[in-house]
Amino acid sequence: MPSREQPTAFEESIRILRSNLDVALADIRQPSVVVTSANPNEGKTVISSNLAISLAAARQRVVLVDMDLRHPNLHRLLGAQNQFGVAEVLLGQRPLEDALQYIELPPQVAGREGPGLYFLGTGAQVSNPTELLDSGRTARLLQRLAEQADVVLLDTPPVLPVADTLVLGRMAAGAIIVTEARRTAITAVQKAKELLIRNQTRLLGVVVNKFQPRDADYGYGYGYGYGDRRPPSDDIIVEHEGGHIHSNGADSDPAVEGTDHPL
Amino acid sequence: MLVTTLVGAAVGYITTSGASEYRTSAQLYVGSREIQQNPNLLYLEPGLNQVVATFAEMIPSPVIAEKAIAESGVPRSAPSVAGETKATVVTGTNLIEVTVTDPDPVVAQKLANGVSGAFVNQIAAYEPGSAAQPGAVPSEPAYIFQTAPFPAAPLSNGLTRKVLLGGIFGFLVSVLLIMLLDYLDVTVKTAEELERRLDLPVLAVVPLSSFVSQKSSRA
Repeated sequence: MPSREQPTAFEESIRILRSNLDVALADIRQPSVVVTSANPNEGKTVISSNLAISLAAARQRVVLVDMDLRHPNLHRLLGAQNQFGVAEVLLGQRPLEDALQYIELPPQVAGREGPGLYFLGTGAQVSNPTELLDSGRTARLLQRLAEQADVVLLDTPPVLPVADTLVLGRMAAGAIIVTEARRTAITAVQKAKELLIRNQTRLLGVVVNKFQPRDADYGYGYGYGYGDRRPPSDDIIVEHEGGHIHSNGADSDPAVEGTDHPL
Repeated sequence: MLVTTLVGAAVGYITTSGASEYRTSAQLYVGSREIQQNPNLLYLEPGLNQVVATFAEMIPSPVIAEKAIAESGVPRSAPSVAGETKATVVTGTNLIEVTVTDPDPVVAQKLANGVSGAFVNQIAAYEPGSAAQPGAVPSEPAYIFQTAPFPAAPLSNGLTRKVLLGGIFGFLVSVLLIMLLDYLDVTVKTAEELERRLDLPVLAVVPLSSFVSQKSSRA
């Protein structure tokens, strides 16, 4: 078993995010949640993937969808294929069952055999992502996914450069904005918030990512500052910078159920 | 912060002259040898004070410096000697202190005594009633009361003080710079600030952390 350093603070913060999200979605059935950011490269994909894994480990049925048709990255983090996905499903070229992938969590994370999460990649690049997403088919796709899952997480493009998230936001139950500490200008986040609200998106809250110790004046309440105690087992870790999610001991190839999807 | 402090200290060090300087003084007495009990002396005193002050202005001049150089034989120019010479009236007295500062202690002593002697000679040379030549000094009794001693120790060049001041200045500059940069930094820093500015709950604060990739550990 390869050994590695992993700060527990990161895991704790994801668990707290999961917990707070549960509270925010308590009165919503079959919620789908947009995870976005104001600008590119603020870590929303890493956050959405780790949140999905955390939810799955907590025995929730999770579907993680990569809705960033312009710059898909989730499949790389999960070690999944991206040959066909959202684009093919929306264009009617593939059925959803063929595009959906099941990614198993290792027992060390889940505490038991079996649990995993469902992943839907972007598929092939399209020339008109905003127009493709702004269609009744997208709404039907999300509804279909939500009917079979406890939560659907949508990893979407950043708000300010393109309009894709504004389209998706009003189809979802709510949105989370990921910001990067000491990099994202507050005015940018404010502008993203205003745009989302104007486009009828319900905002659930904000995640401060890549928070630095020197700014820690608000530590414990938000899942930071629990120290460096070693976890009892090796959990799934995610590299923060341009990240790879590795399930412990798993191959880099995806664990894809060929024929037998619970969904 | 350390860099600016060190730079400031370095500037203080570099700007401090490494050359040593020596300073010595002679004293001249100006006025009559007899102290007369004259009820009008009170009225004469202001006039003598003016003369003493005038002499003090005349002493550090190229004219006197030339004569001092000629008498002492030091290898200096008249303007430089004039620049090195300072004459001040000792407060409340008829004494003029003639001070010379020079990198060479021997030269400093020779010039202090030379300038003093040259000036006293100039006073004696001027004959009232004759046409005054440029550089002539009005007649008033004067003599060298105290010759300049040999300056054994050089003047302090203030190196330690300048290095310290330079370092402190550099430190203050860095503090101000940090405060300015922090003020101009409009990025997200804390959850509290974000909640206040956005009026949205912060669902989590995810720390910046580093991980060892399984790929690298497998390799």
